Amino acid sequence: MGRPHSTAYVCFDEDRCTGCGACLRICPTRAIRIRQQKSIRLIDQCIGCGACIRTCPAGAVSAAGRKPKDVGGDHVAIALVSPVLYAQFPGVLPGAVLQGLRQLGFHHTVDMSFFLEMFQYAAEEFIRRNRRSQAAPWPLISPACPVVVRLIAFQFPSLLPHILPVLRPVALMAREVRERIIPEYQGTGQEVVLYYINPCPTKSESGPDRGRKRSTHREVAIGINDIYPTLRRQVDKILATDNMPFTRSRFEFETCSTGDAALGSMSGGEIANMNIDKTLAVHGLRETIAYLNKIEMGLLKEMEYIEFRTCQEACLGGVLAVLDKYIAKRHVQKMISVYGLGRRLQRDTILRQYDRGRFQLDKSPDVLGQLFGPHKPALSLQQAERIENTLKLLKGRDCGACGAPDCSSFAEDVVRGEADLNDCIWVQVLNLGRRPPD
Amino acid sequence: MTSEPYTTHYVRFDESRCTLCAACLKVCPTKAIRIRDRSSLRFVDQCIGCGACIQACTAGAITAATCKPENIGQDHVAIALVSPVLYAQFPNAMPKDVLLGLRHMGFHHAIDMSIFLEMFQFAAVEFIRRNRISQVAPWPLISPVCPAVVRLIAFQFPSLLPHVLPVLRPVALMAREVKERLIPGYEAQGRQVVLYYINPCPTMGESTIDRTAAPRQKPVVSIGINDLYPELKHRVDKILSEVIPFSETHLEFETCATGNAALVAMSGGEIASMKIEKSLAVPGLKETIRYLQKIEMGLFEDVEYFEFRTCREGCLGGVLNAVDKYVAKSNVHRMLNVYGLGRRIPRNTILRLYEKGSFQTDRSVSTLTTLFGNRKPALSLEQMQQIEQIHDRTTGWCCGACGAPDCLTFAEDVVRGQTELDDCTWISNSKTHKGH
Repeated sequence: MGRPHSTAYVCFDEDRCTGCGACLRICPTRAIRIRQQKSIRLIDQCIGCGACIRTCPAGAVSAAGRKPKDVGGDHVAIALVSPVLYAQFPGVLPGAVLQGLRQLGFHHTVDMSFFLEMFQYAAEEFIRRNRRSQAAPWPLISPACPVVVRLIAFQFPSLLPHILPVLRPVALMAREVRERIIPEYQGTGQEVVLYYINPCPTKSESGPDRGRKRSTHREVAIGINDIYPTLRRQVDKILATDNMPFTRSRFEFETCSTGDAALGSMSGGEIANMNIDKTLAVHGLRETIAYLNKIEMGLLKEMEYIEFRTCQEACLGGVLAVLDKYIAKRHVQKMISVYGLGRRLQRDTILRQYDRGRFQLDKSPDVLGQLFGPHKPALSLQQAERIENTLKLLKGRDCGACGAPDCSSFAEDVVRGEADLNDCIWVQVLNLGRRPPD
Repeated sequence: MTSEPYTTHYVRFDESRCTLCAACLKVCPTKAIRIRDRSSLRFVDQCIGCGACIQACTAGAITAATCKPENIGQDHVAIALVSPVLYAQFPNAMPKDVLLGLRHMGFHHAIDMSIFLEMFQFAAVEFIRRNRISQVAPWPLISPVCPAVVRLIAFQFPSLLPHVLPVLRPVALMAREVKERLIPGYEAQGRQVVLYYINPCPTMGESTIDRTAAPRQKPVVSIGINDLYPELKHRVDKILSEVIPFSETHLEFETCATGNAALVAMSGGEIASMKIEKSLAVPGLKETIRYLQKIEMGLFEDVEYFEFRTCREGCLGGVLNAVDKYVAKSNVHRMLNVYGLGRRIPRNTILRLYEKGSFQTDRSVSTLTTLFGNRKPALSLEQMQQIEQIHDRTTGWCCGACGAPDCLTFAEDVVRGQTELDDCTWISNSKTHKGH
């Protein structure tokens, strides 16, 4: 049918697929179909949540991304490190993990927790001002998890104005790197590659974060699981030597001296350090959808800020993380009880930048809608009616035998001409002239 | 098949509301629910009281087997045994205000569980410490606090029963203290005493919890927090708005002076103030099952203690709660930030009690097995083969049209003679195909 086998975020391996249908049912955007009992087709938009990767018992779905090969061999390699990476090394300080990365060949390692702090100050400031200006509707929704933003654009477009219009920590980090590190290599003729080290497949190489001039550098996404074995060896080596050969770095964000840097990877970690009282932290894909539904219905208006993460136990539960999420969580909690929650940046510095508009999001709700909103043509009233009529013919048990995740998706597929009504076993029973079962 | 019940010990079912959507079938962890003759819902297997079906039912046809709070304390002495989850439902009130509100509602005594939780934690830490040397119990030990977890293990993971920490649960400690110190006084006066358990989940069931307890048991009633909440909220608001003189209580566990008492209601709250480093907290039914499987496979032997809760976010996510679980969690967090983690009981007192065997559970592995183990007759090898063969003939889609939650359960039902092969639309359909 000319439909793709992979999306910007995941790849399907047809040889491994057993046609069990587990991925169908779990996909939040109902993007997956099975054709002829065995072959997977993607007919809709993938938001990169990774639920299908997690659920596939055959290992047929994997994250799009490149295995790290020859890092920094013929180019300048800059690692943009998700704090989840720190949580994979119990008993090891973030500084040693970053050092390990540099020994792997990365020329620069950029710590995200630094930018998370900036983001938190800016978010607090926006919320504080919003109490008076009421420029954005309550509750505001954290923009940190890109899957949540895409999910909202796709399925809850009316909630787009709720997304906090402050640049995400990752965006702040990338900007800082573009403005301060990359120019140093311009004119040297060396290629600069940004490696995003991620716990989830949500950032892809050809990801929709385009829009910028790509001439200065390339961007690559690496899963934590791909880099872990070699990094583990380096980190162990560093720990074995008594005094760590600490390489000095020119940029303040290139190393990490605090122990609580992994906090941001835990559910509730983003809000724990913010001075906002009326906050909630919701994690897990189903829970996120359930609570977005509630907000759409007008509930939770008394809350000011909600931290959504589509992975259970938040980013620690990302599909590309290595360590068990509960073990990682325990480790993060232990580090926090030892080092406490501190901030390294001065609030006044951040507020000055805030007033200059340095944290303002360049993507308006409309842009988000265009980027991640549904791409399928809208249904006419007539078509919607036909879907309703088709749905009445079906049993409504969402059995999945037709290859669609549920009866209403199947009915829509039939009306859009992408499936045959006779694919439904209940319709087959009727056509055979047998009395319907009830 | 009409002998199959409509209710279980823990849940009630209202047939007039059921839309036969089969949502409950699919979430039930013990696969206890079936739709028979495509028209009626039946409980055919053991219910562990997890409450997943109550949560899943979109029509409100399944409810908890709890009692409505009526005539509390009117012709009897009413004692409330309070789950700490109740405190988390009142963001602005201190635990002591909530207990006072209960007394204003008619309860003669309101017992705070958090003090017994502290005792339990000391005893658990002591057991774990000694187990490091004696190795009497296998690692990892599993928290006995959530009764749904214990029943789930007895039913589905019997090999893990020795992992359940053999220390009396906080609720059991609380009930014992009440029975030993409060009740005898009233009995001497010839008054009837009723114990009201105020619970966030249906896990205690209708009447008696402890089937092994002495027959001379007091009437025990289980009340859901949601049933009590409207009136209690009213009373607590009144207490907060007026300066009500604090009524004196003569027992130390009848009031709660700390602000962090609701900590244990949260996932990870039990282990947070225990000094066991190698401990993990796993919330949620599916996650619990997944991690029990991992333990059964021999993983996590390096972990000393697992806190499992079948509800998401721990007991704050219980089906009978009044306040949203994430809102309640943020309440608990706020209280913790203000009051910190503190303990009220000196460790040495507890250790002396521990030495006297005061925390030893009376439920051995074999008792748990007889109480909650799988009671279905074991399958013969031949029967297992038949199940495999039937399972091969089904699609494996688990469409649920036959009335069983999945194809494997359907195959087992056929072999056990509880359903017919033709109930599978797929199998009967392919027969008709051949006929044509």
